[in-house]
Amino acid sequence: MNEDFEDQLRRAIGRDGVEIPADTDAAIRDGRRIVRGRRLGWVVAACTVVAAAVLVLPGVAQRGVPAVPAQPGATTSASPASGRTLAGTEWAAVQLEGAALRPGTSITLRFGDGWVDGFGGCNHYGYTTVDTKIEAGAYRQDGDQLTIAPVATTAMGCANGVGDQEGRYLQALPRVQRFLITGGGLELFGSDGSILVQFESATPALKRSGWTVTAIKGRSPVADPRQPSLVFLKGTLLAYDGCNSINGTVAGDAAELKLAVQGGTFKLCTGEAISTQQKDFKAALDGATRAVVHVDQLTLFDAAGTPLLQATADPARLLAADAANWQLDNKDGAWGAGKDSGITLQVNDATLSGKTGCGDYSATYRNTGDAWTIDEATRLHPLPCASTASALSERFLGLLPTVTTIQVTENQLRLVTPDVTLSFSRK
Amino acid sequence: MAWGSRRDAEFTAFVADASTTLGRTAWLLTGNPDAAAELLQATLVKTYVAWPRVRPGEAPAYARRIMVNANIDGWRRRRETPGLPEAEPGLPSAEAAFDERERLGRLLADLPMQQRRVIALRFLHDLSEKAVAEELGLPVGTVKSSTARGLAALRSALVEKGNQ
Repeated sequence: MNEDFEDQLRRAIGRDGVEIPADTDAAIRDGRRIVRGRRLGWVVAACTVVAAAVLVLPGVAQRGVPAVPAQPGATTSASPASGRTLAGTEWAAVQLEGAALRPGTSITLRFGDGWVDGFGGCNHYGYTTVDTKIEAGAYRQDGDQLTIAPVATTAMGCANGVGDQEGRYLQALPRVQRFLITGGGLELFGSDGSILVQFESATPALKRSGWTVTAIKGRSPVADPRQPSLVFLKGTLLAYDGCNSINGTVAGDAAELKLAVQGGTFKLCTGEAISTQQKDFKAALDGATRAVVHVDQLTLFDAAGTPLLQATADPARLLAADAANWQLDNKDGAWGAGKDSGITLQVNDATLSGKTGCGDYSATYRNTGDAWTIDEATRLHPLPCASTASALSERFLGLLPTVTTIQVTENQLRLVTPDVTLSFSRK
Repeated sequence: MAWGSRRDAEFTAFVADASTTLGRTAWLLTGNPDAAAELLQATLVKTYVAWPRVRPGEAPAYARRIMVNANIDGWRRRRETPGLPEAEPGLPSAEAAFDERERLGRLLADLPMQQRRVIALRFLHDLSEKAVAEELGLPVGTVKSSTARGLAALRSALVEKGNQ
């Protein structure tokens, strides 16, 4: 390790620099409120004073795992007339009081277990509790009737009319009397029947995503040899329960999900733990009616709101299921004289493989999310090739173990190394 | 002195001592002064609430643990900076005016979350690899590899920017 660089880094990040203000009085005031259970008055964003008063939003959890609603509380009816439960849904506003949002702004609304939170365009807003009872930010759904209590917010000042828009939005929420979900959107109506706020679904439709399962019915899964996983790919479900592969279909969207298992492998795996896991995994897929995705965490819930399965986003699972053949781009001519580099890549469950132009290769990999470790590749079936091609082949294979992260879109895959980024296009 | 007054006095002294370093940590983790301010304030409130459980002398470490384990990506992705004025024509751009420290902060913000946490704890708080592993609940090997990868990425990015 380069000691000089480490010293430079220490000096650079330890140096006096960006001052982040701390408001001690506000921290004491807000902390006392929580400690003593004092009733919080409704706070609407003040747009004139820049302050750093932040209320604790219980939805912000530790260790990067967000709190997700466990069960619909007493504030939701068992069988809403509209057939949809708001708990667990997340929305992005598109219109406020009939007008489009200001360009470049966003307003979000998330329904939890009797509470709402979101982003008003300038401040975060949410709920507060007094002796575990939700006060600010509580909502009640009864069929298609909906009431939302005034919310608690942070109090950052905002320029250029954004604060005004936010104020109108936050003042609209307590005026909501009814909601309608239609065509993937949500409309909130006032007492006069006018649409106060119109939203589109912010919850991903799970059209294309891969997940490593981290809990099934609250229990950590057995990895034998690898952890259970889920892949949603254009209406197809590809799952692995820790022993067998499962395939099926995905219909609906995250707020009203329908997973149908159709087949799979039938390997016999012995052991009580894996056997229980297989049953619970299948039950989770059969029983899931709702999916909540928050940042990189997925939770599947049943109709009663019981969490069935939790998972962490894993692009490797998606890439392996996709089984696409990727070609290294050569737009800048760095990989030979031809239009194509001749270097290909395929991502499998535990290995990468492909061609280098001078033969085939295979390398094992491990990943946590988008952080990857690729081992030294094994060269297979070598072909005679010119010295230039041979040098490029070795350069490519030498770069693989230096890959740090991977970035994936539907048609592009990029392996990021400290020296260079390798861009691949779908073949 | 009533307990509440003593608690407030102790907490006020703690914030006076620790807020600069905590603020710097928040900035390293979020890469954004607004998000850093919110993260810092949320951390201070939680620390105040937990004050009776915090052992004397351990408040800075306690607050730091709250901060680095927070759902930082949730703050970053939802946080926007609306209403910032455009750079006036004819004046040096904000990018041109940044010094190495702020450039580094932005480069750090591009690292994966785990590498950012590890780099902040190792190089701002000077924690050992073992201490970082305990604080983040990771194997020591993962801390080592995250440190190596993060440093390599930063070094490379700094060299690349220096050559532009």
